[in-house]
Amino acid sequence: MRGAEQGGGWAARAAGVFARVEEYLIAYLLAAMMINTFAQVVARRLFNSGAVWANELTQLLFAYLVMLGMSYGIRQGGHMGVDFVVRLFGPPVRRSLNLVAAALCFIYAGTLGAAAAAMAWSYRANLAFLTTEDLDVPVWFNYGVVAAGFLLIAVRLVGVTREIRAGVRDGVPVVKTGEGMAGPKGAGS
Amino acid sequence: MIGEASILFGVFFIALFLNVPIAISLGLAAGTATLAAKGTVGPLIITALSTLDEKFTLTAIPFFILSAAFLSSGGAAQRIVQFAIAAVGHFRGGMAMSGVFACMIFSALSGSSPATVAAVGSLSIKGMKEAGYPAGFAAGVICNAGTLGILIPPSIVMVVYAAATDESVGRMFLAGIVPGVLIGLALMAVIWLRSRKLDIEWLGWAGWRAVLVSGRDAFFGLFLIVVILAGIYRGFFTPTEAAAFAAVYGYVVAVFVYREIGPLKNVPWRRGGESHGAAALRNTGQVLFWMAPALLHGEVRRVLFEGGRLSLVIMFIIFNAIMFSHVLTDARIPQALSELITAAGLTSWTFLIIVNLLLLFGGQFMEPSGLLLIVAPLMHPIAMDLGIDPIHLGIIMVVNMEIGMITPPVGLNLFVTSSVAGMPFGEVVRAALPWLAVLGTFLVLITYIPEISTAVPNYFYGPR
Repeated sequence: MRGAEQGGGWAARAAGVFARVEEYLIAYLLAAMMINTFAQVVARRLFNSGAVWANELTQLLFAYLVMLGMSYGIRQGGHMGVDFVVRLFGPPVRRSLNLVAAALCFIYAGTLGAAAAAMAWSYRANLAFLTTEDLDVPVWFNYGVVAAGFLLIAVRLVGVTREIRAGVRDGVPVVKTGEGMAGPKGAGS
Repeated sequence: MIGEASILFGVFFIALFLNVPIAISLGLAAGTATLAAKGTVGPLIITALSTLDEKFTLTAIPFFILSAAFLSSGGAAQRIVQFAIAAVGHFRGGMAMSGVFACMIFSALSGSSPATVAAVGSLSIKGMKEAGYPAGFAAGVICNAGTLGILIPPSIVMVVYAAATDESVGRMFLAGIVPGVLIGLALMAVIWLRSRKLDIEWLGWAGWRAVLVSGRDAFFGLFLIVVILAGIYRGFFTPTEAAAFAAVYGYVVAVFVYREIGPLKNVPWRRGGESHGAAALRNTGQVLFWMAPALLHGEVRRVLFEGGRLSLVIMFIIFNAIMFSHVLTDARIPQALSELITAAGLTSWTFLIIVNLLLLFGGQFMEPSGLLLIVAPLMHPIAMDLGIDPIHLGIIMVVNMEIGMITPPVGLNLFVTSSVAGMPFGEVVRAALPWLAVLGTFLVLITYIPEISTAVPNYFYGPR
C-alpha cells in the first residue's frame, strides 16, 4: 500500500506487501494483548481461575509489538524530534546536517542491533535451555526479536537517507516546527 | 563518574539539536556512555529489557491509548462536546467554556493531552469560530484545556511516574482529580472575564431536557472513569487490567452502542415498524454474532493500528529513556545529586523550586514520558528525605509537563492545535501564551499547598 507510491517493480510491490503485513501485525498484536488481559480479568473474577501465564503473554506480545514496530515510526517519520536548530540553516547546510543525523541513527541501530544479535547468538549456543518463566519461550529468541527490531530500523534508515539526499525529505522525524504542519496526531502523552 | 555523565549529556544534546528523534538521542547517548565506560552495550540491553519486565504497569499505556482511540473515532467526542454546550453554553463566553468542559470530560477517558486536543479541538474550535470568537482565542483555549488530559485520570504520564518510582497508580489517579477540576474551572473563569471584550451574541439556555438528553449520550464516556477509579481502588483489577477493560469498553461502545464504526454502522437499534421484542432479539443476536468478528472489520482495524502506532512512539521513547536513566544510576548521579542538595542545606520549599525550574527547562526539549522516567528516579528519594509526599511530587511533575506541552519548541499540544485549527504554528504559540498564566499560577498553588493533591488519595487510601 505504502510502497506503491514509488512506482511499479517487484521491489516496490514487496515493500507494499511488507508495509501491509506490518500494519496488520501492529493492529493485531495490540488486539491480542487486549483480549488476553481482559479474558484474564474475567477468568479470575467470574470463574476464580486465573492462568499464571497470562501476564507473561501480555508482556511478550507487548515487547514484540514495540520491537517490531519501532522501525515503522522511522519510515513514516512518526518519532518526535527537535528541529529548531537545524532550521536556522539554509536548505543545503540543513541537508548535510540531516544526513549526519541519519548517520547517527544508523550507528545507534547498528550498535544496539549487533549487540542484541551477538547476545541472541551466544545464548543460543551456550544457554539454549534458558527460557521465560511460564511460557518457556527461549531467552535467545527474545534477544533475536530485539536484534530484528534494530536491524529493521537500520534497513529503514537506508531509505530515509536516500530520500534526504534526493531532497524529498527534510530530516529523520517529519514533525516540523514553524510550518503549522501536523505533528504525530495525538501522539505522545 | 563525571566523565560518563558528561558523555551522556553531551551526546544527547548534540544528537537532539541535530534533529535526531528524541528516543534515538536518548539511546545513542546511553549507548555511547556505556561503550566508553564498559566497552560493550550488551548489559545495557539486558537492563532495559528486565526493567521493562519489572515495570509491568507500563503495559497499561497502550490500552489507555487504544481506549481513547476507540471512543474518539466512535463518536464519543462529538457527543461530549454537545453535552458541554448544553450544560455551560449559555454563560457569557459559553461556547469557549464548553470547549474547556468538553476537554475536562474527554480527559477522563483519555490519558493523553494531544489526543484530547485532537478529539475535542477540531469540533470545538470550529464551533467557537462559527459563534464569532477570534480564531486565536479559540485555539488558545483548546490548546491549554487539552493539557488536562494528563492531569485528570486516567493519565499516561501518571502511569509512567508510578512505574518509575514504584508509587501507587491508584493514588496518583485520585490525586489528579481536584487539581484538574480546579484548573478547568479557573480557565472557565478567565474566559468569562476575557469575554466581556468580545462582541458576540451569547447562546440562550437550552433547558434541562437538552442537558439530560445530551448527557445520556455522553454518559458512556463518563461512566468509564468511575469504573476505572473504583475498580483500581477496590482492588478489583490492577491498573493494567483496568486499562485493558477500558480498551474493550471503548471497542464495545464505539462498535455496538454508538455504531459509528464497524459492521453495525448505520444499523438502527429499532427499525421502523419493528416491535420492541423483535428489536431486542435482533440486537442481541447481532451483538453476540459480531462481538469477535468485528475486530477484523477494516474500520476497527484502522483504530487498532492507530492505537498501536501511537503506543509504539511512546514506548520507543520509554525504552530508550530507561537505558538513559540506567546509565545515570550506574554513574551514581542520584547519590551525588542527593549529597549536593543535603550539603547545600536545601529545605523542601527551595527543593521544590529547583524541581520546578528543572522540569520547566526539560519540558521545553523533551517528551513528558521520557523526561519523567529520567527525572523522577532522581528526585523521588531526595523528596522522601525532605518529607515531601511523593504523590504531591508526582502531581507537581505532571503540571510541569502540562506547561511543557504548550511551550515551544517541543510543545506537542501546539503542533496538534495548529493542525486541527489549520493555523500556523507561530500564531498558536502566541494564542496559547496568555492562558499560560492560569497554569503557571496553579503550578505555584499546587507546589505549596500539598493538600490540593493529597487530600483525595489520603481520604480513600489513608495517609501514607
